Amino acid sequence: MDVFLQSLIAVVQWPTVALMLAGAFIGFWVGILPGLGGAVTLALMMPFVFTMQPISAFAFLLGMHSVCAMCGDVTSILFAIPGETTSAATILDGFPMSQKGQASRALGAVLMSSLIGAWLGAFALAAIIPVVRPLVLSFGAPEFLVLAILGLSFVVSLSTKSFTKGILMAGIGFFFSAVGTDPQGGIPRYVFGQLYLWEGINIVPVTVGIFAIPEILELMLSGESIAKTGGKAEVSWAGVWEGALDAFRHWFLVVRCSLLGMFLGLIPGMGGSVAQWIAYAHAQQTSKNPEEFGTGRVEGVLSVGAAQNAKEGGSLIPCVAFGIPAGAAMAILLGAFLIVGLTPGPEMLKEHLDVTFSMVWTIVLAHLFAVVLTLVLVRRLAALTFMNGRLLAPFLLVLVAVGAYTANNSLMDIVVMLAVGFLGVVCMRFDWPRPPLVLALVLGEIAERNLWLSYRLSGFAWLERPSVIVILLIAIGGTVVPPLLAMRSRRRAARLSTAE
Amino acid sequence: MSSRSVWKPHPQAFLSAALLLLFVYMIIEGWGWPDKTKLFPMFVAFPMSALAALQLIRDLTRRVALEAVAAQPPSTAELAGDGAAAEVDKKASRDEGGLANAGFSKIAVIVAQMLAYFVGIWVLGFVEVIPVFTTFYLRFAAKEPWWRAILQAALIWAFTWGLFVQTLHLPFTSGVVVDLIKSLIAVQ
Repeated sequence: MDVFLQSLIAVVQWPTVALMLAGAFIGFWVGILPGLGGAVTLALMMPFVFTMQPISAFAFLLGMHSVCAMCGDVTSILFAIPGETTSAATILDGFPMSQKGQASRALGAVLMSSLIGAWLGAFALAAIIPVVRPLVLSFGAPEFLVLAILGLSFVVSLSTKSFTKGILMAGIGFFFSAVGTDPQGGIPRYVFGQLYLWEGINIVPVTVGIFAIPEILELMLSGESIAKTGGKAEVSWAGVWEGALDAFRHWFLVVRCSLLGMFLGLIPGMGGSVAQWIAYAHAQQTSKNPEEFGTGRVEGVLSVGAAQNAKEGGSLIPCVAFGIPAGAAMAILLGAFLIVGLTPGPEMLKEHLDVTFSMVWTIVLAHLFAVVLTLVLVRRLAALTFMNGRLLAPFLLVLVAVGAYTANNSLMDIVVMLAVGFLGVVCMRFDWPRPPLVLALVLGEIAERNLWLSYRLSGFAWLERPSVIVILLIAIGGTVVPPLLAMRSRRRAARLSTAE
Repeated sequence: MSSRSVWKPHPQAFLSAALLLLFVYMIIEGWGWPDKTKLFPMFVAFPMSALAALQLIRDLTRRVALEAVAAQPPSTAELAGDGAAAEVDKKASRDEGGLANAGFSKIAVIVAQMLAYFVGIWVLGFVEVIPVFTTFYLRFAAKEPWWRAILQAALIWAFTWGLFVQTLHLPFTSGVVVDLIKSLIAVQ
């Protein structure tokens, strides 16, 4: 406990606190700007930590990285352009809230749920480090495979109106994930003679294309503001406060999604791109009004905000304790350990426990700072949703173009974005669900790699592992229960109408 | 109440057909690959082809109650014949929520404007296209006064240039026109 408090004092001391705030400030803008990911910025900022002490270095880098996910939600809510790939699911209910003139409330909700999620994740990092080793080490290819299947089972929840259409959209996502060099044999698949496609299709142009392009087109088409409230600018502190209170009204959902995000962050290879969708689908499955998701339900915003920020603490655990990076950003952070003369692993839990705990405090304080900064700017940011759509369109086009381009620094990224954008427009026109495509793209590669590994390692014996059976049962439950519940409520409604 | 219905294929049938073609292509293209390479694509493509075929049949064989057909307002495409398409489309998009109900002609114009920007990136370059597109778009599509169009174009250009080029040094590709000029100068 002494070390825990001493590390807090170390973080708030000069110049560490200034470096942390500077990092969080950079992270705020990196998060807001589409295309500038947290991992890329970590890499860009790495040279600056050579001369820093370990605690100051991690305060700077983690302060920057940890707030990116939260700030990425801002553009998702306001313009349907995800600031980060981990913020795509926020669009589903956050953007409809903006269209209803409730941007302030959506921002308040996402800020508060993100803060709670981040804090829970950070403190969980501190609490479970000593006992987490067996859990992380017990996860092998079969568990990753069934976790991917569990994630895919949520396609059912994300296909609110038509199960068939949702599965077909997931099929397109699988096709995208199959494009590129085959992970087993190195044979190029579906590359159409294009060298660019050998690397596979990056998620960034796909996410930007499927969500942002149709919304910008709609904006240019209507010429109206994003908020369709007849010109009434309802940008208010009351709205922000209402959103913040929503996080407490749905506190149990926020806590559940935080734990879910932390758990998924803990598992190398899953990451925030998966956590957001699973949390969203979980919120929808457990809601009394699942059919209203996608129309501006605040629970949809809360669940994603909590999960993707809680995952930051979770993903640090394997990185710090075992030197296993949970994702690209954590892999870069591992480099920072070496730069400042530390070795990730058991040493971080003994000799350098103060540095480990300082990471917890950095996440806690950096998020608090980012929330305050967003609150300062929230009225101006939310006011953008009341601007004439045609004035906003050129700026948004620049953002989506830069966002897509930075995936591989190739014009082909823009071509992919446009092609997927066209698909998004068609889907929007005919009311086909778009989230299953992104979910399948993220999970398809994980599922394929681990399916083959599991089979090669133990034939079909991997199906007998207890953890695999438990996760598979949850996946089956997640697939079967929602349609059954929907069928039951339809029958009940039919019975009621007949009785009347 | 009459239960008469008419055959009216759903317009989304073309999307279902495109998906069916995509999944059939996945099977044909991957058929000759080694087992470990084609395992996943085949695992996906076979059931998806069946589902896409099912969806296509459902879309093509759709029957709509006669009352529902009669109650539908005339489509913008039908009205386009009388020369008032633009006005009708404008009204439709404003009154009924934009993309889902807008007429083809209006969508085509907006898509062309959007494509002009992206083609401009290829022709002129990432940063160079911004002032050109923004000025012309705001002046002629958004009907803003010249001064506002130029001012906003300058602001967006300054933001992009200052942040992405000067600060972050993003390696933007130059446009083909710029490349051509450079090569001509080099030759001379």
